Amino acid sequence: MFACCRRADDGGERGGRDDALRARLETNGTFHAPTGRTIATNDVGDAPETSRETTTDAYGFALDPDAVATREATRERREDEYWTRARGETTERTLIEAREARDPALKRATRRGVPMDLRCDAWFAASGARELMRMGPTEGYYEKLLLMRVDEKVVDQIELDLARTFPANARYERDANGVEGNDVLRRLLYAYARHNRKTGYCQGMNYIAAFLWLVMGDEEKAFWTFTALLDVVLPNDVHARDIKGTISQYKILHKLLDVNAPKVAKHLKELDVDLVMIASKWLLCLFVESFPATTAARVLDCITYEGEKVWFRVAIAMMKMYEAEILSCMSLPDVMLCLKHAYANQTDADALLTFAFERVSLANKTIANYRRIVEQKMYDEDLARTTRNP
Amino acid sequence: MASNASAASVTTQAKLVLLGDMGAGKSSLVLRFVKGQFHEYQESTIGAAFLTQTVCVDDRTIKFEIWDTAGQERYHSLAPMYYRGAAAAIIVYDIQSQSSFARAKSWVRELQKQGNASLVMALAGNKCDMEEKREVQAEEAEAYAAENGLFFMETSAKAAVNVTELFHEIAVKLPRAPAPTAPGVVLTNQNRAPKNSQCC
Repeated sequence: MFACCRRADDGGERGGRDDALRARLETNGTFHAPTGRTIATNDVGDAPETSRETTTDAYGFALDPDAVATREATRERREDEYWTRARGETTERTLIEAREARDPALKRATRRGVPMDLRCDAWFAASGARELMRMGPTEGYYEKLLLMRVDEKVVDQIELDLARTFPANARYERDANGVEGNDVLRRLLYAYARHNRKTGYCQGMNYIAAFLWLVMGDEEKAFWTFTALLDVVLPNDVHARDIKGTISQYKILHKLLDVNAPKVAKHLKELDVDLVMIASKWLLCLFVESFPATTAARVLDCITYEGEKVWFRVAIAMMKMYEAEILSCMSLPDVMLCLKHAYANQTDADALLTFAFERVSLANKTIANYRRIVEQKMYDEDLARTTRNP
Repeated sequence: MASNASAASVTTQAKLVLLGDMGAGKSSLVLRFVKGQFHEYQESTIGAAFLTQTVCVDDRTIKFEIWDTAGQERYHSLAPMYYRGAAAAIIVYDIQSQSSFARAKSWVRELQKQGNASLVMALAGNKCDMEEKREVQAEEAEAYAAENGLFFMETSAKAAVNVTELFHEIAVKLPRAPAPTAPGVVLTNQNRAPKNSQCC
């Protein structure tokens, strides 16, 4: 039933895990996300990823010990010298200035991966969060938001999801300073719901906010980065009350696939696969629930710096990288499981991002053009529906 | 049909969708049914999850293709994709919450409006181990189910009460003929398979 095969050029270690997963699949006939989010047995905090003993990654997500590829660890260590220069007390300012000057060296360095210790400053600066905070309605806006009342229904929904967000992540449960993830996540989500009353709370946000906090470690900066991502970087109706932005984003993605990956696009049409049905979480959770944490962080390096176009690039790249596997899928569920598996095992962020930036051709103008067409069509359909059933 | 000749018993694929308010326990019911597990803090489902499980009823083998959907109301516009062509639907509410029962009723109305007469609909009052916090009486739900031609069970994914029974009962109630979408899918795939290996 499962038609996803390992790529021929994969390393042996990954193959081992793939085979194990496939074996599990074949015996059970079922599939559960191999996201590595099983109970973590130790909290390694900021320990480097080079240790073969670790069972969680740097962000507290459980790892399959057999799957920790040494080549990734090697890459993590080889830091772009740009970051070595930028590191220091003025990192944040340096990054802002470089960003404003559109320094190509910063863009290159970002695509190669922001070092863990600089991610907080980098995401805060690159996403535009710092400007948002500076131009915020009032001084101490976040603090003020925390004092305001939240709609009761929103409270119920957030409370329900707190303990259901990365439940097996040891660092989310309690970080090195004893701060409980639930408390931070509650404040982040309440604050955003007060900041953006129209959107309030949408499931999916919980994973993004928790992930930002896990990576950034600074609650207020995480809040502003979250706000910048949702309000500015992504279309601001992705999490809206009708998730309209999500629906239109996937319609655009399908149009882009027609051009960028015609064989896959054709196959998806034949199997009647609508990606919003099987993978809305790529957008609603901004990949953090789909990729291994380290890959998700690398993708977010680029999304914060270069914008939502990177989201399309990555989604298209994955479809092209796994084209053979997708083409061998026989049904819609096959495609869903194949993609889920491909994402969950994409530990090689370099391969993914190199593909996304070098082999996916995509212009902002094209996206804007498709967005206009898609939104107009959705508007017309809405209108037709309301006219039919007033 | 030729491919079925070699098989000892015919396996029928049945698309099954779970609908219901967030936190009602849809994912937990599926996890209990498919893997026999229960997590106190089941990750919240974004979009939908997909699992399969096979059950044998008398001489029939039924492979459930289970779509476990996200419960938040704003995901509503995606729901038709999951229930379209479904052979069965389980509508789940939490016996501790009247509002989740109200939401269940609105799902029932929506499915009835679709006019799929052969759809097997089950109403599951989940978390029945939480008797002391009960808000929805079994009699009330029972009466509602009878009125609307659904079959009703109170379940507990946590205590493993009535979960297998629920799915088993659905399997029994499934019409003998395969679900409308299943044969089409299988057939086209068989035709398509060789084409893939040739192309390049």
